[in-house]
Amino acid sequence: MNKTHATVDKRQFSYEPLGASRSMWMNGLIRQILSHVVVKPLNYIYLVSENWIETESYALFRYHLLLTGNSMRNNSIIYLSVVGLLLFLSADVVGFQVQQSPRNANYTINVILDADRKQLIGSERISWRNISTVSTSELHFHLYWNAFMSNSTSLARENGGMLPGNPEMEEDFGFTEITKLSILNGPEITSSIQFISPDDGNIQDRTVCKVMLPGQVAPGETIELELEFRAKIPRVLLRAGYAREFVFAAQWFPKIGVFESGSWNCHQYHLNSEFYADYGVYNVNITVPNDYIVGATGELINKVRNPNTTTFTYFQEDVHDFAWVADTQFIEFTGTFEHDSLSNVHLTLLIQPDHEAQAERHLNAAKAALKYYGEWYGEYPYSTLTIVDAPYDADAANGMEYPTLITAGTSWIAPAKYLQPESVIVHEFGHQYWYGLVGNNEFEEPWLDEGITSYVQAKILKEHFGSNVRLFKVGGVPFYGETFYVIDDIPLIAYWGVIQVDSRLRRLRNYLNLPNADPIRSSSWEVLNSLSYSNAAYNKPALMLGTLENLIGEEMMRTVLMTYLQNWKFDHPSSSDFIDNFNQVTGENWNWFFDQVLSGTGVIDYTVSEIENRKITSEDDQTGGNFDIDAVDQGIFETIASSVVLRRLGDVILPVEVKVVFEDGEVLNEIWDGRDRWMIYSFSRTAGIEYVEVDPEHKILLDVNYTNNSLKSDSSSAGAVRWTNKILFWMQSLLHIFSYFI
Amino acid sequence: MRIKTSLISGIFSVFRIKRLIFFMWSVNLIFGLIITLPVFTVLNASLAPGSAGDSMLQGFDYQWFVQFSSGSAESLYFVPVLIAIVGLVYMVLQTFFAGGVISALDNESKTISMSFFFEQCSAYFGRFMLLWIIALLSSVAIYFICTLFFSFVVDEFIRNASTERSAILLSYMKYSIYFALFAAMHLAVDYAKIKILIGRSRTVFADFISSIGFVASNIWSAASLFLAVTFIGIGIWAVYLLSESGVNPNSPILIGVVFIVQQLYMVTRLWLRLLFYSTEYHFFAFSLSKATPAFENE
Repeated sequence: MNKTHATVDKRQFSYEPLGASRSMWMNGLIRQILSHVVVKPLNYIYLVSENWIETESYALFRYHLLLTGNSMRNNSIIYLSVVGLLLFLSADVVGFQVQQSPRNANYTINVILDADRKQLIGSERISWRNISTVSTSELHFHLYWNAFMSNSTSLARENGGMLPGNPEMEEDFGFTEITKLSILNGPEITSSIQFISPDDGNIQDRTVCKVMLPGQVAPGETIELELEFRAKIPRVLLRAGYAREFVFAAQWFPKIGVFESGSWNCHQYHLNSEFYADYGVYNVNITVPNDYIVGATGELINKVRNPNTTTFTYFQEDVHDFAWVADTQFIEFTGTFEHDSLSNVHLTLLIQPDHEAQAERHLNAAKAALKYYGEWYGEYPYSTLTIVDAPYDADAANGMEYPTLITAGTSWIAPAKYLQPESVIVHEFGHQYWYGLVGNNEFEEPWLDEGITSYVQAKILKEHFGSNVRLFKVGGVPFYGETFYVIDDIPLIAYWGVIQVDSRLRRLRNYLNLPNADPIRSSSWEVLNSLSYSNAAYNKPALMLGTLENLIGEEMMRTVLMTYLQNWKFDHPSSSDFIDNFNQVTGENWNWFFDQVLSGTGVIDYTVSEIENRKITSEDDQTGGNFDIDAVDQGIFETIASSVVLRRLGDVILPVEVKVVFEDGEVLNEIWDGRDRWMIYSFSRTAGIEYVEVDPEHKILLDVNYTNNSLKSDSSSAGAVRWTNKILFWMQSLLHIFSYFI
Repeated sequence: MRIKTSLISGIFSVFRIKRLIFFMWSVNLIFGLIITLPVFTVLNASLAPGSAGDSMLQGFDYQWFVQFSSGSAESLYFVPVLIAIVGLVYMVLQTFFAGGVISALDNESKTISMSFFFEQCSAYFGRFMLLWIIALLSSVAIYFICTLFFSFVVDEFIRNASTERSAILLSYMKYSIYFALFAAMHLAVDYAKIKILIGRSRTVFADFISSIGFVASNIWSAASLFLAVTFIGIGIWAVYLLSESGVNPNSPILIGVVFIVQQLYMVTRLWLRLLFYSTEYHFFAFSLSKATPAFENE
């Protein structure tokens, strides 16, 4: 682990600083030359030597190569053959990369941070290719920060008429304004910008706008736009924003929606919703005051220091978003993920000074996540990963994911056993796969990224870190244990002690608070409330996938997700695609399961409601003398007619295992298909039933009440007495404390 | 010197009234049971029939807790209300007992009978209740004034703290101020009770005010004595934690052992509460005999 203050990789660049208009003009000229003389003949396969990597020309070269790539598909096969042969011959010597995503939404952005006024001044060039089969004459854009314009936006309304964090002052609010929009080498179309509210018709919401084009963009055709924008950075209210000098620029630039199936999928920014975008190449120049330390999506390919400002250039291919962060307080640590069979990844950690002692924990968590994801599902395809620790008063920016950049979250006092920040890092890194590589629509089906990520997060935490330990805080001070009654952050009744917990149980705890309000397959803004969103997107899917793993086996489940990743990376799959993949890999039709659990709101609850043991003497025996021979030999002419009543209290029908333990120690395992509301099993043996349990191995993680899954013929109060004794002591102590108030 | 003498005398005095400690312990236990027994019925209904009871006997089964707290939480809706009602009655009863306890300390030569104890309880109950109400209203007023002050000053500092560490430390400072004010109020009320009883006074409000003056003029000695007894309490707590942490009560015998240890600890805590009264009584009496300026003027 290397620690530096305000440093970057010590790469040397051999060209002029960016920012001056002359340089920009030169850049444009270089691009034109590269595009026509070098790039086009090579199409979208490129070949570079190690020496080229360190130059901006190389970045521009790669960028232009990729921008124009797909429109060049009709180029000569001869060219491809020749280049292919060259690549084949030279691959071992110089290495090469191929285009992995459609790259139909590409951005070159220049942005300047006005730190005093908390503003971004930017210019953007978008190259968008219509990859659908339908022409379009309009473009739709996200202007996410307009959600923070007022308390009348859809996001604020969904939060009860007030933006999260209750902003009061003008500097707390934020917005994005497109000041100029034109088609490259064409007319200005700023006046055609029109705000729309496709989800809820709220005219106060300006998070989506559409632009009418003078003509059509046919399938396969590319349009290039230039725009200028100004953005007021909001205080960190939700995900993005500023807090003192800290700036987290996420969802910060005018961003084109997704054109699919003949219409634009460009939803408003809702309280619970996240994002959806097409893949592309990002080349971003970020200019900040000199005392700022910057981190961003992609590789830092250039850094130029001017008298008062510094310009950082970042470049990344095959991603669908770009975020950056800047702060004067960051301490930077770097590290490298190394693995026998996986590529190295350069890690950058930007951490707050208070948390410096936890730097290694952050990096180790990231390495663990890279290892398990790489081994289980497939290699992380990018060369960098940046982990950001937002300051304590910008906590709403923590726990977020953007391509190759994640925000973590920890506290000054962070006991190692509590696995914070480890837990959040493993989770957010997981989104590099389930959101980053597999680009499902987070607005419409958030479970596909949040649910799968939560499921894998629990697996990695258990595999690498062991059990989590419960913790609660009193005035910011952490204590091991669990609270029962809390008033004003003070636990009135609490269990003070170490409780080892499988992190899946945290999901279960949240799920049980509201298990049946919305199906998993819900749009993020069409749910009852935030708790229901959390259950539909995170908790229930994680438990569902855990249940499926228990039913089909860990290896099979791993194969399911690996195949899902490989089949759908750099694409936009839906729940149906996930189910199809699941059925295909397992070789069985699981639609009956997904119909109930994914699309329905029913709960799973099986119970053993009754056990009966009745002695039958030889006189009233109706079994035809089906006695135990040994018992007969011993003169015991008695059998026991036993029965057990099982009931399905929930609506979800699922086959369950039933374990019956007899008083003589014999164990009988049955499978109940669960189709009926109840089932009676009857036995006639020399020993009665001692104990019955449904789902004895706790495979069904979604069962809303495990406590009623078992029943003993003789109940025992010992467990209740033990804890009542504890509660009695708590109550005596509480009363005694009251006596100090007289 | 006053502190040491008060502490030693206080300890001896408390041992002299040990019968009262066991009486107060039995009251504490009965009130604890009043709250706990209904909880037991709910717990037993959940744990006794199935395997959850076995796992909870072995240790804390978080899975059971998760499901119990969501599924059976409604069955426990009465607990906070029950705690509030029983707690209020308990506090009134403790106010009632205070007269008897301090009278017992004030009659060192006398053998304390229960009838004498209850006579004294009755004699001072009205005045101590009035004192309690005055103290309660004063505490509420102080709390709101402090909160208002904190919201303008300390909370503003916390909001503008450049680091998480300074924000947390400022929070601690805020809580420490609350705690110090509560402790000062507690001391003033205790000394007011002692003053009322020693002086057979009926001017409750005036005694409360003069006790604040007494605490203020003897702040270091009074606080040191208070802290000395507090440290004894922390020591007892540490011993209890050590003895309790080594036992996993997963059998009826061990549950019984833990119950005894817990009750012994409760007895020592009640002893400690009386030790506060006792040391304060001796300190006050000692100060009175020396005729400190604060009381010469009265």
